[in-house]
Amino acid sequence: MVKGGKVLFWVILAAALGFCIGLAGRFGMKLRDAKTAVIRVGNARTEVDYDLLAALNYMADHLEQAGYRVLGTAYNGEMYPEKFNQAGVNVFVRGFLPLYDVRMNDKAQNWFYLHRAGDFYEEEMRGYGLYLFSQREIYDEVRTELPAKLFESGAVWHKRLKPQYENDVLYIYEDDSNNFAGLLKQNLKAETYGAVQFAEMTSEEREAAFARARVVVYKMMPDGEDADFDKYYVPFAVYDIMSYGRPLVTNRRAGLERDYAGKVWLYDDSMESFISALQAAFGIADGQREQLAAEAREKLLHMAAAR
Amino acid sequence: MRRIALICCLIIGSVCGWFAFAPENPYALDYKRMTINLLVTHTKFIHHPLYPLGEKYLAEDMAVALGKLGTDARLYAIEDLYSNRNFKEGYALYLRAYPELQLSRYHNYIDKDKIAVLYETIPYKPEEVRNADVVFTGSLKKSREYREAGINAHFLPQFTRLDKFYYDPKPELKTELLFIGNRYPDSPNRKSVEYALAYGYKPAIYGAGWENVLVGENAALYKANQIKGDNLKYFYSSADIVLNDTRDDMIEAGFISNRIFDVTASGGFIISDYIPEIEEIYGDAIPMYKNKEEFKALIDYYLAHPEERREKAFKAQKITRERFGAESVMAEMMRILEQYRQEKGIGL
Repeated sequence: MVKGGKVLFWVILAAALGFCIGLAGRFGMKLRDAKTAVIRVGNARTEVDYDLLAALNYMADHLEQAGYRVLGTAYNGEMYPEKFNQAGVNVFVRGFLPLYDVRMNDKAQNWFYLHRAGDFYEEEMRGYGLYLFSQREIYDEVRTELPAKLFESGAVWHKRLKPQYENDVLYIYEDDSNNFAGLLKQNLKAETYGAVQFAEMTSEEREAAFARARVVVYKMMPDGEDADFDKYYVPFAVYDIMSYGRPLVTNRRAGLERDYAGKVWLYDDSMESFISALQAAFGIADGQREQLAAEAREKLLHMAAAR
Repeated sequence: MRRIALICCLIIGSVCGWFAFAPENPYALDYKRMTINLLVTHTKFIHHPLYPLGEKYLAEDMAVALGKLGTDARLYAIEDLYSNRNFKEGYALYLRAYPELQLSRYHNYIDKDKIAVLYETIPYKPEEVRNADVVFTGSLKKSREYREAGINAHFLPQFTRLDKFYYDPKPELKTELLFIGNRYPDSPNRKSVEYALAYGYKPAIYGAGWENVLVGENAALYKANQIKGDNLKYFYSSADIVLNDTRDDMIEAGFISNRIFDVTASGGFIISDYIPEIEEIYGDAIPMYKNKEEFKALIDYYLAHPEERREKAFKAQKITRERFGAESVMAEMMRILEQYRQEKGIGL
């Protein structure tokens, strides 16, 4: 009888100990999960262009630096794959159109990132723990009412690419309504891509295209009422190109002019200005151009590190 | 041996401890919940007395009936679509009233695990219904057309709530002729009112848009902008004759006005404009007119024959109670939706 009781005692003790170990393991997992993040891009955003791709990479990099392990990006109708269920932070990315498909996790942190959209509905701004904006004007509008942060353009660190010239120009455009692509192809050896097409390439293919070109031209959407960005916005794609250390010709933006004058070539919204910027970029020796691009890269990476 | 047994106990305990607080899927949709999206108005107007909407009442009745069947359904307005309300409802049902609102835009972007349901109570455009997962239509004719076009469409008649519409006349509400309906700028002609006024009848008129039309000697006919949905039965069952008419596009598409079901469920006697679908369902229990002259003949006859009115009203009430009660119609809807979900393997 005593022997039987003793055995039962040890069985219960072992099971209880095991139970505690299991619970502790689960608790440990929970603690670990709290420091994981997932980026979820709304279904209304049917295409990822180079700018959004660069922005998401930069965001993932930021999160990693803040101590979060980024589990991945959920996109293309698969916003809630099971493998990301335990993420401690959800970043819901809204670009161009509202999120019609938000499912928050009450036990996790839910953040909202308004990427490059000029308009939003007041009703969208509720229910999240943190609001991130790529547009300074919108951020200034809501910063006193919401827990908001400006997520300004920047770039992840890329290895500086060694040029292997095959083309004069790599032309990437968000909009080519004035047919710069035709102009470039007629007069120079040019490789041209739409911003979505460029984003669809592998990173190796993109890097190879960068390396092949003497100059990279990134053309933004034109300014105006339909523009989906404010006057302060510099696409993340622009800084991504700079981070590779490639010579860059792009639209004039106050931030670029202030920080990188003389190191990148900027043009206004006219054909003459565009041609003049290209002429300036090609008007110097290859080595000097590469040197300026390297200086721009150095400055960019220092500024990014200081943020 | 003893040591092995203890290690086994330890392992079993660990497994139990691990799974004792296993987290549930925090993003799972709940297919016992439904949003009823009224893409007709904004939240601030949805309960505003100046905007009485038939669709709102219909949606409210749907929600109550679904609730009784175990599905938690809630009403939302336009801005709720984009307001990040953190919807976890498995079904999103859309209703609309005015022709200018399009549904297709929203469908394209809603959660792919969510089942998009349209309930067509007025004729929609083909591009609207094409994007929905399941389309219910109040028109038998349109359900056949949609199915021929490869759309997953089902006939689902409009309905009435039998716990809300029943015979309960009030002497103070007794009136010879009664018309309850809105007069909207896009469909200003209401045949029954027009004909009644043309022959000098004096119907009691309730609804939005009449106050500036009924002027002079007809001003007294206008009674109120709106009657609370819960009180409608008193008016329907107290009137000698309730007038019904239907928009031309609704007749063309084969939709029966919801008023038919509400009035008949309330034991009211109703005279309607001619719609073959009403005849098919109610036979001669609902007298119908095809023109002004027939309208007059019917009004005169039935005002003079109260016994026949009561007999027909009773017959129509029986049909409505048997076939068009909210719960039986909603049960059919949920049966079809559940079948669709099982077939597609959604949320299983």
